Order: sequence, then C-alpha cells, then structure tokens
Amino acid sequence: MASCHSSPRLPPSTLLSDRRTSPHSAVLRVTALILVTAPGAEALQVRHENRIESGVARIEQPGTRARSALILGGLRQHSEPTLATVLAGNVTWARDSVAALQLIAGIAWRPSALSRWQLEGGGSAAAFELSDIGRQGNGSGWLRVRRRFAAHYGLFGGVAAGNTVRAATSTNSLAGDVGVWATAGAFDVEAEFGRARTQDSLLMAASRVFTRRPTGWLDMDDVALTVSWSEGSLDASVTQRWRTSLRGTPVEQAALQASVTWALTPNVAVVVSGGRQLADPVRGAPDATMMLALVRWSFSSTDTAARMPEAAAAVTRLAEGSNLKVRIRAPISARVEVAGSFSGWDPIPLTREGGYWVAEVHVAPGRHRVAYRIDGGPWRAPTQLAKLREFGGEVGLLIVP
Amino acid sequence: MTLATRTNGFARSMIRRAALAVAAIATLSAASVQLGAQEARLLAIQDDATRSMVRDFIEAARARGTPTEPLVSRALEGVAFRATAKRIEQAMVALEERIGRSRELLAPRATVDELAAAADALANGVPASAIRDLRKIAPYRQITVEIGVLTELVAKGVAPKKAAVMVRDLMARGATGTQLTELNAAVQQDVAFGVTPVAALELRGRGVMSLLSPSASVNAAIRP
Repeated sequence: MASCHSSPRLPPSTLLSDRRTSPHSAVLRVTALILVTAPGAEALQVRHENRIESGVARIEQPGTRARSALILGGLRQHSEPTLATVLAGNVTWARDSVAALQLIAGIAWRPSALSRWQLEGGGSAAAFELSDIGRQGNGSGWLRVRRRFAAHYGLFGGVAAGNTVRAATSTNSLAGDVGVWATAGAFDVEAEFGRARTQDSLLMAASRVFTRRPTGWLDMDDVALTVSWSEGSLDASVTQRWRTSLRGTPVEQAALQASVTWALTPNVAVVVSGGRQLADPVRGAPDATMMLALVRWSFSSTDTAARMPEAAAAVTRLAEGSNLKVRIRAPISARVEVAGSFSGWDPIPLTREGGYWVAEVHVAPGRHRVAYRIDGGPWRAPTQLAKLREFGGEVGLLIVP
Repeated sequence: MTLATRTNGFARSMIRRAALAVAAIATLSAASVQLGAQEARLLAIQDDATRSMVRDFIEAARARGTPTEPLVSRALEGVAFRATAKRIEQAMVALEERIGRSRELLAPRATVDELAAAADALANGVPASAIRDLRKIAPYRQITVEIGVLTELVAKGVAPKKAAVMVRDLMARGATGTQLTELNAAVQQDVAFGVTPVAALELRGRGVMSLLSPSASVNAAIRP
C-alpha cells in the first residue's frame, strides 16, 4: 500500500502543499511533517503517553531546491489491554513561510488482552496552508486487521482511502496491502506488499510518474521491507521500498529511509531520520528526500508503571521448585524491577533481552506473591496471574506445584 | 531379667534420650536461625517507627502461637508498596485473624504454607467450607497448591462455589497439584481470550476429569 497509515512504526512522512511553482512542471512543496505513530501493535502496550516533539528538517523534492522547515507536534495516547486510542497534531513552518496543520485520530481494538486478532482504524485531516484551511487539504481513513500466529510472527492486511483537494480539484485514492512480521531477538522484520490507485495525477507528476490511460487513474504496486533493532537506549529502523508499474502506469522507483532514536533520559529522546519517501497518494504526501532531527519530550513518567500492560510471567518447572520468568515490554530507557515473597520483597532489576525486560528467578514449590514496577511507579501484577489487591496496588498470585 | 537385658534396655533408653536431645537442639537451632533470618529481613525496613511496630507485632504474634513467616512477608510487601505503618499493621492484624481461622479449617494439622494459602483464599472470597472440604479429602498431605489454585480461580472471576466444587471433585478423583495448576493456567488463558470463567472451568475441568480414574481414592493414595 502506498500509505502506511497503520504500521506500528511509521516513519515521519510528509503532507504536501499545493504551491505549484510552474503549471507545467507541477512541482509540489512539502510543508508539513507527520510526527505521529498510528496505533498499531505497539499502541496496545502503552496505557498513557503524552509527547511533544520539536525539530528541524531539510527537504528536497524532485526538480526543486532543498528547503528547511521547523516542526512542532504533539501526541496523546491512551491504552487499555483491549483498546488503544491516539490523538495527534502537528504544525510545520517552512522557510518560505508556508505552514500546514494536520490532525490524526486512531483506534486499535482486540477482543481480549491475549487475543491473536487486532482491528485498527482511523482517519486524518490536513490543511496544506494555515491561511487556506478548508479549501486545500487531504482527508483519509484506514482499516487494518492483524493476526498473530505465535509470539514471534503474524500477518496483517488492510485498506485505505483518501481524498485530496487542491486548486479546486478533488481527487480520490485507494490502497490495500498485506504483509507479514516477525521478531527475532533484538530485531523486528516486516515485509509488505501493497497496491494503490489514484486520480491525483498532479501529485504523481511531481514524483515523475505519469499514466498513458485515458481514465486518468494511476496504478502501482509497492513492496516494502522494514528491519528494526532495539537495544539499550537505542532504537533503529531501516525501510526499503520498491514501486513498480501496473496497468499502463510506467514507474520504477526505489527509496531507502532510516531512523535512529536515542533515549537520553526516561523523558527525553533524540530522533534522527533521513532518506527518501515515495509519494503517498492516499495521504497526499509527495516524493521527497529529507533529513530530520527532533527532540522528543515524554510526559508520562509519573504513570510509567501503567504504561505496559503486556507483562508476562511464565513458570518453567524444574526437578525441585521452578524457574519464574518474568518478561515485560517497556521502553528501553525504563528501569524495570520484579519483587515477591520469594525475594523478601527485595526488588530484582530486570535486564534487556531483545525488545523485552526479562528476569528469571528460582522459586520453591508453593504459593508466591509477585509484582513488577516500572521507573519506581506502582506495583502491578503480571498479566496472566490472578490479581490480589493489597496496600493500594496489586500482586499476582503464583502457584508452583 | 538378666544383666545383659538390663544393659541393653539402659543403652536403648540412653540412645532414645540422646536422639531426643539432638532433635530438640536441632529444632531450637532451626528456630534460632529462622529468627535470625527474620530479624535480618526486618532490618531492611528503613523507617524506624515501622520497623519497631513490625518487630513488636511479630514478637506478640509468636507469643500467641501464630506462625510469623507470613506476617513478616506481608509487612515487607507493605514496605515495598510504600504503605504507612498504620496500614501495614492493619494488614498484619487481618492476616493473623485469617491465619487463626485457617488453622481451625485445616485442623488437625496444617503447615505454615497451607495456613498462608488459606488466609489468602479467605481474603479473596473462597468460602471457609470449601477449605474445610479440601482438608477432609486430603488430611495427610499438603494442599497448598490446591488452595492456591482455588484462590486463583476465584480471583479470576469463577464463582467461588463453582470453583470449590470443581477443585474438590478433581482432588477426590486423584488430580495432582501439577494437573490442577495446568487446569488453572488453561482457564486463565481461556478467560483472557474472552471465554466466561465458568465456561472455561467447565470445559477444562472436564478435560482433566477425563484423564482421572473415576474410583480413585485420594485418602488411600495419600495416606503416609
């Protein structure tokens, strides 16, 4: 799919302005950078997050000179074990005083906390210029289904549709995609095949894509491969995308994007991203090569313990007693601890293993009470265990035969 | 009675006394080590007032004949949860009451683990009669796991009476602690997938039941 609306790791992408510098070359200018991660699988693991991002970008489109832009974005995300919502907005100022505004709302739902199915949907609205809100912009929506087959791999598929209005002309775009994802240690891999069709010939012409079809519809196939890596305070991802011809729309394009996030503290991270993004007709985003640097402030530290409901406790039986393995999905910058009656309630720090925080402790047969906490916040019971309420928090009851 | 017989009887008597003395010393040593370990754990409580309150409460409970290990553990849990000294004391008072009640329910004998498990069970809505029934079925072995599984099922939303009947029936047919723990894990997984707790217990309970002999006599199997 040309659009990657519901991908769990959306790279920053762009909206477009309708500033045609020449009626013949139909060059479109980038004026807004989307700083939003749509609610995907990750979203269901974060209960509360408020974030502000600010930074600068250097953007170059085919046939234009590179331009600079200032970015300010905000995001509010709320998740329960079966429901996640996200609301985000951003404003971008380019050097030539063009500004743009974008709002995004999304939702993700699972029938139950451990369900293998997840349904995601959402929509976005964008104004290409603040002085011209309502007359030039884009509206889009998406729907996606994910199916997890095991802890380490799954499939997804979805559809998206968008409408773009510029120069009093309204155009529609449609897209659909299917893909597979897998996790191996510190690496996540996602492969995706998508097909898109659009009436937005202006956008595609700016990307040097034309059609020979009399209907005016442009069709194309996309294949994308994303590899992500997470270790310590660093997150990195690389996406390679290939676009090929379909039904009389000759196009052969390839684009590589890379992004690195470095968590300086639990609340502050630096994001550096660069590369080329292909035009996304569903969102009206143009072909552009960009370099981006952002500072991200997170304001969820007071409630970080509530952020990650996906905390699993698994017991491995041994000849005498058992090993309790606690695995918690938490930010790489977090401090995660587990404690219980088996440790005299002395907190045991977890270590980073792949994308998780992990601890393995020996527990004797019998009954134990166990809890975990993140960044010194309230104690919580691991997801699978029966929860007992005590002292204003919760503990999990663990029975070892 | 010959001299040799008398000498043998004296020797046996001496050996018995020596064995009793060794056992008494070992018991006292073990108790002393446990006390030392408990004291060391209490030293981890940094707030002087809280530590003093907990120490006094533990000593008083010991004098009342209450096993102190569950109380120490609950106090440390309260400290970890940053509860006030008053709140920790209330929790210890409530726990001691439940341990006392558990001792009656699990009579004639109960281990500390069983008492602590039963106290947790009572605190989470397991009927007292259900605990008494489990003890009747297995009067000669530890039933900590069985009580714990029953508590987990109730805490996960299974109706207490329904859970008690299922655990009791499974025990009566010879289900092992491991089988009950696996049943509990399966029920919890089903509940997480959206199945109602009662339906999950019915389904999984029947599955375990089908593996058991209908005429198994638990008492015969577990009598030492």
